[in-house]
Amino acid sequence: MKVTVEWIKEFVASEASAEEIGDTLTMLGIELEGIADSPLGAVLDFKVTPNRGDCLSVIGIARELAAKDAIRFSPTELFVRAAKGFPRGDENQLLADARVDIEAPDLCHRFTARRWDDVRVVPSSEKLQARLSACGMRPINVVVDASNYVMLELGQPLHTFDFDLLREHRIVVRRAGGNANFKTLDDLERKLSPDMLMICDGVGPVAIAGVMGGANSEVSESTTRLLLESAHFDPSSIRSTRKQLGMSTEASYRFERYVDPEGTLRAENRFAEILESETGVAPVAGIIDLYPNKRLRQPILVREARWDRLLGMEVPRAVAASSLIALGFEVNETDDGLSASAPSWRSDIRREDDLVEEIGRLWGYDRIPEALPTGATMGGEDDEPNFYSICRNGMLRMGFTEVLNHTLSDESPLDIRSERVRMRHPQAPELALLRSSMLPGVAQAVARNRGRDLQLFEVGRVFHGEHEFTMLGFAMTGRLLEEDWCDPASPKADFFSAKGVIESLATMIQRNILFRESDDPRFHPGRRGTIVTESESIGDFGEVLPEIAAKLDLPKGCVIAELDLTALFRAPVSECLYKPISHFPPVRRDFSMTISKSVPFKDIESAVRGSASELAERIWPISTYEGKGIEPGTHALAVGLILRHPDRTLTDEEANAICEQAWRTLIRLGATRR
Amino acid sequence: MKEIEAVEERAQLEIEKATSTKELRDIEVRYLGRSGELTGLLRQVGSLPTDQKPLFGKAVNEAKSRLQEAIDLRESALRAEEEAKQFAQEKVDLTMPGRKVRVGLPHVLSQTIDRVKRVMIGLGFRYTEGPELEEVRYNFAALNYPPDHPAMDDQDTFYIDDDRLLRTQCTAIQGRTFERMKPPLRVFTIGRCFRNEAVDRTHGHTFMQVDAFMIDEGISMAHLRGTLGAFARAMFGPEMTVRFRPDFFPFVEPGVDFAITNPFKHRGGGDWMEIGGAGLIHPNILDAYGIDTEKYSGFAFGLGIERICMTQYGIDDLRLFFDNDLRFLEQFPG
Repeated sequence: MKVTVEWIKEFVASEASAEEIGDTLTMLGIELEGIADSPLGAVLDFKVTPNRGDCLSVIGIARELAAKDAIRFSPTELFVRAAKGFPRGDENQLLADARVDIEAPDLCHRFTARRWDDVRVVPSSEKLQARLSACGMRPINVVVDASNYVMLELGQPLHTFDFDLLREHRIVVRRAGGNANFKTLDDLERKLSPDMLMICDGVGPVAIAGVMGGANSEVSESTTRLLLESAHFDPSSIRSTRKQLGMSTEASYRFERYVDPEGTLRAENRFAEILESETGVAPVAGIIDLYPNKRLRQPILVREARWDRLLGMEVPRAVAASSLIALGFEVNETDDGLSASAPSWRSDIRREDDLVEEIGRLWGYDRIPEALPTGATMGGEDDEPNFYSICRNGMLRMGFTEVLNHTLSDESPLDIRSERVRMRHPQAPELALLRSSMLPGVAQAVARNRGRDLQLFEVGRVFHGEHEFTMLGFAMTGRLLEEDWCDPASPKADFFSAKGVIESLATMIQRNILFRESDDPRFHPGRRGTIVTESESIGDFGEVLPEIAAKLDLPKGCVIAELDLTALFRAPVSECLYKPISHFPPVRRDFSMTISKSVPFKDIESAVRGSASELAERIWPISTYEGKGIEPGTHALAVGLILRHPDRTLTDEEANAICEQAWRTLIRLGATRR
Repeated sequence: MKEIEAVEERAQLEIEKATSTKELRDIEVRYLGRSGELTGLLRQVGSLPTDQKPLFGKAVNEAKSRLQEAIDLRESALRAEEEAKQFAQEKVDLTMPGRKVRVGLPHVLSQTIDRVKRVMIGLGFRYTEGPELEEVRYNFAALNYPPDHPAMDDQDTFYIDDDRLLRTQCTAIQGRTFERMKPPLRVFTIGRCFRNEAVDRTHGHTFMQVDAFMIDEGISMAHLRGTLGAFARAMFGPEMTVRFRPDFFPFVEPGVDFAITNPFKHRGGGDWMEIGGAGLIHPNILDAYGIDTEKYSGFAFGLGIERICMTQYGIDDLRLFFDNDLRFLEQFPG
């Protein structure tokens, strides 16, 4: 809210500078966002929190200043008159020739009206215009300007009708009841909904209550008779209406944040005063004031022991009492503290701790000392997030760099789950869906760094139907080690690089991972795999399908993988147990063969293992070769075997016997010795 | 005997002149080897008169051991020379770059998160996590937001449907925690939050937030300030202090925003770094979860990871965090 310093000083007498006023209010919780210059001097711009609708006014700001620092900010005569309601003396007289009915007292708690005859709708005075302009409002004519002026000064939005355009000279406050269109005074057709609170005349709507007036009853230059509305509306009704209409006005902004229901008449009187001083025209004597829903304020007890304990500092009872009184509370002392009734403009004060806050806020939070809580609690981390940290660190240990991608995402050929979660009101395609796969993100990071040798990963949440879980995604492309002058020909990342990473990760996180054939269309049909635990499928990996790679600007041969870490967290843990180390020498034997490529290595391995049983320390493929000299469909394969006995040295004869037995099985598989 | 002396003298001369260990090895063989000259002299013993035999033998053996000693001495000198030469030949160019090692780098935001996590665990808080796709009630109603209140306007929300949204604040874990844990408790989380905001250098629709809270007997604003002070000092050094200003969040009463001494003031900026909101947990929330407000009170605070990270490293554009340009990420090797 913008307000000039000179206007504030009409309500509190003070020598304080604009900056000092701004600082004082900021330390009270009404944050100064900026200071600007104007023909009337400094303009302060405050950010008022939504619980403090009362501070969306000059008088509210002035009241805070006076309450905080009575020495530097003392209330002026104007402030005192405002507190008395700018009385005119005709408040007990009923306004003639007009009628108001409130048919929705649950939404309109009070409606006050005054009337003027013989008004002249002319431009307002320079002084009025200057203040409005400095506070960011455009001067229009004296009627509109005076109502805006009162709204800024007292916080009460006002609305003026051309009385002669009100059919039957009557106001009915009721719900719209239907879905009619209604033209507001900005000349836009608004679609009403049945629950919206409307101000109607004897025939139909003339204003959207608390939001904006209608074009059909607008004050114009030809207006001679005015009806002034000053009302209190239910905040959440106003909020719901203006949200449905997709609009916000100075009036609705204030009504949503609670306008003082006791201030409606005061605002009418102030308007009368301003209009009289501007144009010399006084209102018709008498008022209409319907107040069907008066809120009774109950005193709240606040114990001194409680405010001392919660604030962590002692605030003398007398100080607490005078702070609350200055803020407009009615205060009585009790045996153990105070009893305070909140002023009508403070809807945020509901229980004891709300008063504790007021007492602390005015005494000053800078007086709160630092203390550490005593009592012991165990710091630590829940098992599940800790497991994800271990996975993340595992990837870092393997030389992968961490990237972060957005949860909100677009369609992608790499994200193909059927039940993706969709935003209710997507604002842009790239914000329309929640990711259900980590692959688009890591692929995008690869494309972002095109031309480099990359090993990238991300751990994050994905969403599928009703499920939210944590996944790891990684991508590898180019050389495994970055090019350097010592060894320019480092091997390149391929399918088996990715498989190796998955296997190493499984070891680090002590989970048993297996691989199955995959039919995932995102990958090269010959270079892909599904990652499984004993009970479920937990991920996919492989070389990106060339067509998709081209579309996403990925280098050829880029391998990507994703693993469901939440499923892995739940999977059984492989126990980590010490095994004694044998002190006897190993025996190595190599098997060199040609064999059909359709025989999986797993079968060859188990043939060798079958004969060696417990003595086999390691079995591994040394090399494969196909091409010249090798029959098509077969390959030359060398397999290494390391044998070791736990308790003695193995003899050559024993090793040879094992080998011969292995060879017999291998030959049955179709192998030929080379 | 003269012969022995002559041979020894010749050998000593050759040893001195030897220029390599290989040459020395030849000399050794030539004089001391099985068919070497001195060894050959020893064979003459048989043809000598009996009384001279022991003397001659002794003289030869003595000459042999003197020569051996000379050879060893010369050898170690020559070896040192040769090694030095070898080393000189093998000398590297120290200015050539080292071989590349592939080091995995944690993301710069993760680095800040990891530090915050260590400090909070050190302060006795337990790290837990909640869903990013949250139930509307945990995000708002459970945090004392009245229905349809303008406080929600601060947080333009991504709704999935009437019951689900992307959490706008990690504080949403509070209700979930109070359902499963009883005080005393100290709990915190760090995670993604989402707000439907236009994206620019300082605003994003996604950001990382730390949210922490504790409940125990007699917890006060002083404990809040002390804990934040301890946190700030662990993060940024012993001179950190905490400033409170009143602020409003529906889930705390009293509510404050807090700033810490700006540890990076030397790089410009104000005296204070405003990093979060805090306060005592609203008694309405404690009531709702059956926690006796006469016995217990608690505090809660939340702060933004990006703000800390950006200030620490002088990063001026929030969008870089999710851009994944290695030229950015590699500047923070962790």
